[in-house]
Amino acid sequence: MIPGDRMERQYLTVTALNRYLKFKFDNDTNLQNVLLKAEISNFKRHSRGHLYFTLKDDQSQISAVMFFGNASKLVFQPKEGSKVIIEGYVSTYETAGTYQVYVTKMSEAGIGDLYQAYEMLKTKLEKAGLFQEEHKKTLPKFPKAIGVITSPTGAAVRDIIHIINRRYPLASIIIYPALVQGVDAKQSISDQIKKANNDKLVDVLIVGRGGGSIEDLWAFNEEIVCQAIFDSRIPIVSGVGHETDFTIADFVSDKRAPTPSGAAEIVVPDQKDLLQAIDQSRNRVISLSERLFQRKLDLLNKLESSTVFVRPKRLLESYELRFSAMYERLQQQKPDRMLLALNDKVTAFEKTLRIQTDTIYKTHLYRLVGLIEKLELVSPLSIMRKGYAIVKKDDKLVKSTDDVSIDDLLKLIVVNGSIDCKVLKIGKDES
Amino acid sequence: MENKLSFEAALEKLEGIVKALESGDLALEAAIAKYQEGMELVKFCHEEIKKAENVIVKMMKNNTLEDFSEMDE
Repeated sequence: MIPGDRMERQYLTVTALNRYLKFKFDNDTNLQNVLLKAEISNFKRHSRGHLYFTLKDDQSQISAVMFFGNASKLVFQPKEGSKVIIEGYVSTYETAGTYQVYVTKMSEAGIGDLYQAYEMLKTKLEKAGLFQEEHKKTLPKFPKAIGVITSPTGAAVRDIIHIINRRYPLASIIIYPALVQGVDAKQSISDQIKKANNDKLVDVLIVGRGGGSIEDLWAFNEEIVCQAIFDSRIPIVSGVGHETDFTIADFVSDKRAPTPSGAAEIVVPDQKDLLQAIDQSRNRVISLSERLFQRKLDLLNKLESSTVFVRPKRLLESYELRFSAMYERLQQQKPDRMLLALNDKVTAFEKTLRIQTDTIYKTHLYRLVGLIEKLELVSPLSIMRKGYAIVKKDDKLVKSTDDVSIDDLLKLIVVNGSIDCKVLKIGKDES
Repeated sequence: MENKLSFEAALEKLEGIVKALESGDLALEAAIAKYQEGMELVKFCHEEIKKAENVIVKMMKNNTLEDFSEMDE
């Protein structure tokens, strides 16, 4: 290069270059959100709580720092050789001209192994048929007692009690306290499932816990818990974690609820719906009964209004006409004796007819009156609304003072129920 | 009404009565009996729901049922 050229070029300071590099790093969205899987080496804890270490795999390495604020949230102790997964960003340290990973979150890579274990157990149990629909037990529609297997101190148990209390206070709850996280949880949960089955005090079980990390929920991915759920003779509803958490226990359960609260809603009906259904039934009973009674009444009315009852004379009209015509023809011929004889015959005929019609009419009428009386006696609906009651003694109708004696217990049936009472005094009407 | 009738059984009976009345071919006496029984069942169900004020909560501890208080920590 010739000196003249140099004079015309711009020379940067190191600081300017480093600042430029920092600007490039910080404006690269890929570098601002980095997920890494690596192993820790050169681990150093600074006196102020910052962590300095190197992240590496079998070929490369990169410096990393985790500041105190983030490091204080770690749920494990990172050390030399720890396999970790981290979240963070890449930026430069201007003074040294180096770039490094600024770690915001870090957890043990063993979690990846958990996913693997999850998939393995799920596949195994699915193959064994534990998830099949044919094994799912039907939940009772109206459980009397509900067993709840969960921590007795968490929010989950409170939510469950609260919801069952609001929806269906007819039920009772038995809590089977269990550890729901940590190494002993699987044994605790499966023991309580077995205990509830031995006790036979409840007709449905809720098994669950509130939300947490995958490790927190892990007990519900353990084979011993899944097997206990499968073996349970009492139907089980699982409610583990949040909506998005699917544990293997959920697949084995007779019904999966998204949350513990959801499980409570599944196991009991809502009294509001029940009251509504009862009122609907009540209205059906009333309207159907009334329709039925009305139909019987209509039938009677129809019988009552038929020609034979309303105008029995009409039956005779045609005979009258024929008779009149004959009578006139005979009168024209004036064979008086014959006429008189015939007239007598016709009169007799007419009389018989009248008597017969009358008899038929009366028979029908009496039957009808009987039917109406009977109907009125037994059809209490409209009358009872006006304040009348049916009086019964030992389920028999009381129709007369002769049917009862002093101190008899009587039942008054009124339109919306019945009243029990006792005979104090009997007063007979003179007849 | 029998004392031992459960809420569930009462609801089922009530449904049966509605079905019987729906069929429409009941004799008058039978219809009235169904009507009365239906009204009594409705009353019974209402009372059962009203009667239950708070759910009873127990805890199985050391093989005995203890009262459970939500304040337990």
